[in-house]
Amino acid sequence: MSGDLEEKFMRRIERGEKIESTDWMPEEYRKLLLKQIHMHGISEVMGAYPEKEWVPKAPNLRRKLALIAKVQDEIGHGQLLLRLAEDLARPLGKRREELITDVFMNRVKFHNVFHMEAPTWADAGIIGFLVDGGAIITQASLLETSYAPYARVLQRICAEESFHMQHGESIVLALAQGTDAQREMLQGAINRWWSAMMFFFGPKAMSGAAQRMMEYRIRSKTNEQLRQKFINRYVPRVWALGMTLPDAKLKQDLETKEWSYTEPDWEWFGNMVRNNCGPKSQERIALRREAHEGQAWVREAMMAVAVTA
Amino acid sequence: MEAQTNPVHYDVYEVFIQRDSLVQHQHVGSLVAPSPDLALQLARENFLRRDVAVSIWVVKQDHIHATATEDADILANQVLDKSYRNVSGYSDNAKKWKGFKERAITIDDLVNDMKSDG
Repeated sequence: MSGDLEEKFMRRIERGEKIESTDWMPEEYRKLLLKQIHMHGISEVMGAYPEKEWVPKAPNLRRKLALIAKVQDEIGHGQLLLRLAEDLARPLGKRREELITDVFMNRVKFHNVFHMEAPTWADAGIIGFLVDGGAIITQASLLETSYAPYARVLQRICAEESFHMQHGESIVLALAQGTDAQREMLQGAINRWWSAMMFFFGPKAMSGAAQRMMEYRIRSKTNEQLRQKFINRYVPRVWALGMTLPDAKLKQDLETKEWSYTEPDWEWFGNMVRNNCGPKSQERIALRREAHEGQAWVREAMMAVAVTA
Repeated sequence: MEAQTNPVHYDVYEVFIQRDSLVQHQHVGSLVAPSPDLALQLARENFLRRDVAVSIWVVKQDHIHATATEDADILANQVLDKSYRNVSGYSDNAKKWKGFKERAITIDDLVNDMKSDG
């Protein structure tokens, strides 16, 4: 019976049909999607933390407004994605509260880049330029996902990310046109983030789960395809700014168009993401816990209002 | 003819149609019907005699909570300059990239990258 359903489901996928949250789906599909969207949503939320650190220290009012707007967008994207995760998790007996608390129980991972330090204003710019650039490439590759609610939400997310991209580039361009000290600060930030960006897209040899996601058309590009697209767009731009990248191996094969690059320290980054032991992991997770637990009384008080209304 | 002493009353349903899996449902109007099932059928008759669609939602009008007309000024969103929040507020990026002999790229470039293989 279930084998029959699964076969029908796969035929829908192969025909390029989109799946809705209320449609029958194999448990494996549901779980892979949930893991992907949950991690995506939590990464949006945790992604706000390195940037929010710069809100009080932004160099002028316009930058401050833009940074606040961006932090708002990231949290908003987290909300949209967690809502999708919630629908997927319901038949598995998991609810919103757990989806949120999982991050401080170490039960869901978030992107490696958000475990890292952002010590200078140039880091705030590089996060918008490279990290958002990488995130946009990943998200754009998911626009054709077989799960319709995810595809619809991603359209909105990508549209809003287009401002994040411009905001990051604006900071980077201003610094690149600035004083020697500003250019040096920019170079320092590039050096700090580059290898983390190579890790961001994941290993060349993809996990069994990632393979299954390709078969279910949850995603359609390999880690390496995404990394190559990122390198191809961003390396020439960093070089054009007169900046260097901390990788002597970066070179494009003129025939195959493939870029060679130095592998990031997979072990070190992998361990950081699994065990939340990056330079800023614990501090940011503690802030997240504080926000969630500290506001518990507000969520409860709102329920009282809803009952009496 | 007997005078009707107990006139039949149908509930109002608001109708939302989704034309493609990749777009959200859109409000198209309302109708009256004796049940949600019949409201769905009638929605098809009233609103989809020609167009293609993938899904219809009907929602009892009583179940819709709406903002007040007087609150529209809050939604107008134009009281303060929000150019810092929009791509259009960063038009000088392109000029600056040109100064570095590079072309500015947009999100569409990154989306289009995905359409090519490899």
